[in-house]
Amino acid sequence: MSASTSEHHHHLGPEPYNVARAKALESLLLEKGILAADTIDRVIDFFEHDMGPMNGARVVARAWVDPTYKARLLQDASAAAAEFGYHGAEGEHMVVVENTPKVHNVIVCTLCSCYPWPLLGLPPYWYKDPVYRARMISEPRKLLREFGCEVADDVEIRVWDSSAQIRYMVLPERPAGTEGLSEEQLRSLVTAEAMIGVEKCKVPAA
Amino acid sequence: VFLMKLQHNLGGLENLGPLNVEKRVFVQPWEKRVFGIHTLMMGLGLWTWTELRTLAEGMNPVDYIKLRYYEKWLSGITAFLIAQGYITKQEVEARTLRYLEDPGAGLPRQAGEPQITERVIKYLWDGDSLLRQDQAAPRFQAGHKVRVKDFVPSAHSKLPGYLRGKTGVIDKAYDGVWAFPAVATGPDGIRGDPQPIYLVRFEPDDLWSKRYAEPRETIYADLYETYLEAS
Repeated sequence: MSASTSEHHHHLGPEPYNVARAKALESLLLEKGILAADTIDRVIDFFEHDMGPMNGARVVARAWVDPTYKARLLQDASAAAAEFGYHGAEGEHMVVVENTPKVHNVIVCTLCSCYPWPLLGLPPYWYKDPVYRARMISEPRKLLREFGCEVADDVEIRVWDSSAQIRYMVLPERPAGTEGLSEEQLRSLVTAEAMIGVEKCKVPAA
Repeated sequence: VFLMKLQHNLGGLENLGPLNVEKRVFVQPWEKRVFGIHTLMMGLGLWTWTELRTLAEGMNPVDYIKLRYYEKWLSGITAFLIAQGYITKQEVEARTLRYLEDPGAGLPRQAGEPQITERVIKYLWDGDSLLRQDQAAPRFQAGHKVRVKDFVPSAHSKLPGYLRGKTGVIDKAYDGVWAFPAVATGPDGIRGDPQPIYLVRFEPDDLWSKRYAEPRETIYADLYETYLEAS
């Protein structure tokens, strides 16, 4: 996995080279019958419509309005997600950890990019960034502050380094002042970042 | 033990500066194509996460830090497809050059077998659990104090480097035993035998001393049994 092959083309800049190399792979795999013409588009469509953070938001909003569902989610997240039809790759065994006034949870994968796909889809770039993976372990409070997420000194921060077979998601706290909102309105308050634990759910200013 | 790979030791690495909070999953359209090719390879069983990880962990550490996530995937996938004989180095270089010289050139018109796409989507819905329901006899129970072994990891490791040699407490032993997706045996003793996984709790004071630890932080890590010994 060396960058040496791209060095011949540095005068072109890395992006045109990457575009051409990716296209070369796709075209060769098509010609050899390994790849079908619609496979990549179907995969991308799948992560836009079937596996994305909208799934996690739906689960979180349900847990906020239905205490029995919340109990099932915290007991067995994979089974509770499957109630909505959310299951599959990189989420064969999921655990949901709950934020409370005394505990703030945050997820990291210091070895690579473990992420609960059936609930959150694919990880955003910041989550895969070596800077996040290095710093969330040793200075979580400071890094969370850079995200604009203040965690009071008396709140315990639990950092979950997921590198084996469990994939974690955070159940964020339901924001104050949302008692009158419908479940659907609540869903719109839940971001991927909140479900990893680097944001708190907020009511947008009117 | 001093030999180490940066890729195993990101946790706690200092001086990397502020995080770029890029919330997109793909920042260039070609990254979607590369992710699609990776998913094809997973769905057809051409390769596994272990092979991808082994290549990433074998990279030059400076490149590993500097290259974007999908740049690493692009070079890893290319190297793998060549090494396994799916494509040749000559044809991929020639084809890359052709698209560099004529960026508007289209893709071949082959449609391919529809069941290829169905298999890939089925893999995404089904996943690939490594849990084996064999009767587990975990060596450790909740509350046991354990030490993480200190050794030079093999070509693919699931042990975060900052935990090597450190002491923690078993929070729980997960049910069952879990396959270890190893491609090669290594000095960590992993031979691919299914084994228990534990949730282990660590205090930052024990990882990098009180002087550097933030207050009221707890670190949880899932560790295969082979990485642990009684403390």
